[in-house]
Amino acid sequence: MKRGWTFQSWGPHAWLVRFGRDWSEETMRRALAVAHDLEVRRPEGLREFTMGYGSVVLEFEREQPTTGGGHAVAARVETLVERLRSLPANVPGGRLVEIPVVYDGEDLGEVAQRTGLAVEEVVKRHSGRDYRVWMLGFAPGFPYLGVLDEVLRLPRRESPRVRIAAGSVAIAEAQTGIYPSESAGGWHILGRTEVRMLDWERAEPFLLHPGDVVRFVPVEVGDV
Amino acid sequence: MDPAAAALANELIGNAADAVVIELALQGARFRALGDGWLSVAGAAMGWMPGTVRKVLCGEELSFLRHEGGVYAYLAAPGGWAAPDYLGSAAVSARSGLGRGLAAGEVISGRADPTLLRREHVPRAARPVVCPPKIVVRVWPGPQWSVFDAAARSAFLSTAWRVSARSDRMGVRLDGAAVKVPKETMLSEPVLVGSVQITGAGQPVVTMRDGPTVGGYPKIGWLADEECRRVAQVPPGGTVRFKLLKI
Repeated sequence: MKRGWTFQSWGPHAWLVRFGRDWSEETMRRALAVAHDLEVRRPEGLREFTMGYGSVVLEFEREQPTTGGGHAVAARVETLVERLRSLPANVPGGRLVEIPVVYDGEDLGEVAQRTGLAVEEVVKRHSGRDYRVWMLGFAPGFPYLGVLDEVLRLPRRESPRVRIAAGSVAIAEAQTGIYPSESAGGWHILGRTEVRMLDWERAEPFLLHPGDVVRFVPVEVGDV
Repeated sequence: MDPAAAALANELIGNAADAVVIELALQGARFRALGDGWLSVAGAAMGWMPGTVRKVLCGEELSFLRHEGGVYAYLAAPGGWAAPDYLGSAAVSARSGLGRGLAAGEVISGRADPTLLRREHVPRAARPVVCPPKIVVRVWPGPQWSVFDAAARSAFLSTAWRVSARSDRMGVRLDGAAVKVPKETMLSEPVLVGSVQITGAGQPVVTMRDGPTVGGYPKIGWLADEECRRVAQVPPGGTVRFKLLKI
């Protein structure tokens, strides 16, 4: 396939498209370009789309029986995908958002130990680079940020925590994120922020959007 | 959790299919009517005849406390219930602080005159949505179907899976002999409502309405809406079997 895209049908009306199976910047930029295009252009017949990490599910309206069912869906996917493939992998606009973080998370010590770094060095490496918001997902407003310093990459916790507080800043694999609301979760918690990712009373409930850039700023307790 | 039952409750009373309904789960609720009016009920029975419309009288107590005939019941009033709207919906997602459920003592009302029933919209022979406790559902192969080995796939399809009491609006958990999980790890992929994921412990979870939009567990199957709602209505202890559909 061109550019390593793969396709899989998902039931009779949906398709899963993967842009790659790695953490490469190219894969992620392409996913972001596709998400932006689908959001802005709202292709006819597309009921909904759901982003994964470097993948998307395209759900189409159910066809009337007279229009050929599965064949019509396949034709639509083909037309749509042809256009998506021709998109330049440009990341659309995106603001720089600074997030003050108190680095006192319950997994900070363990992350330091497992990576062989001093705690200060973990904080320095986590806050030392800007991250792109590749997608929102899992729970409403949860930003998937990447990519993380290679030294900090750890698999998810073996047994997920039942309760992670809203505002927790955490890492897993090549990604980092911020829990928008209290939830269960398997990521390693490095710290916390008072900045609210999610506020249903705001005109725009989500603070971050795909394409935005996040900069974590270490602060002491009391500064937030 | 059961869109077909919610739509039926609305249809019976002359509302648009997506008008605001009250969803009652398992333990149900009691209401007192503060005036005369019409009410329709669909989905789980809870001591009522699901798929019916009836007149309620001022002062009458309406009890939906019996656990029978399914898990989720829907009450509709003429015009739909008045409720705050978020992102175009009155639905509640407690986990993310979106909206809130009804509390004891609260007064609720419909958006239209409760005594007026737009009978011309009432279907002549509404078929009630039935909710048996032991079901067979048709499942499409999921994105990782072929990643599971033949023995795992066959075990998945031959087991009568028991619905766990730990099921909720995020997912219906199924208990049974563990399915062998593939070793291959994957990036976080999209998860759709109806996705049948196999957890690290080899147990299926059917993703429901409040489930995550992405996840890293392999998806052995996927249930279309009409099958997913039937799983939602199986009470804890009931069983679900899967029958494979071919793409």
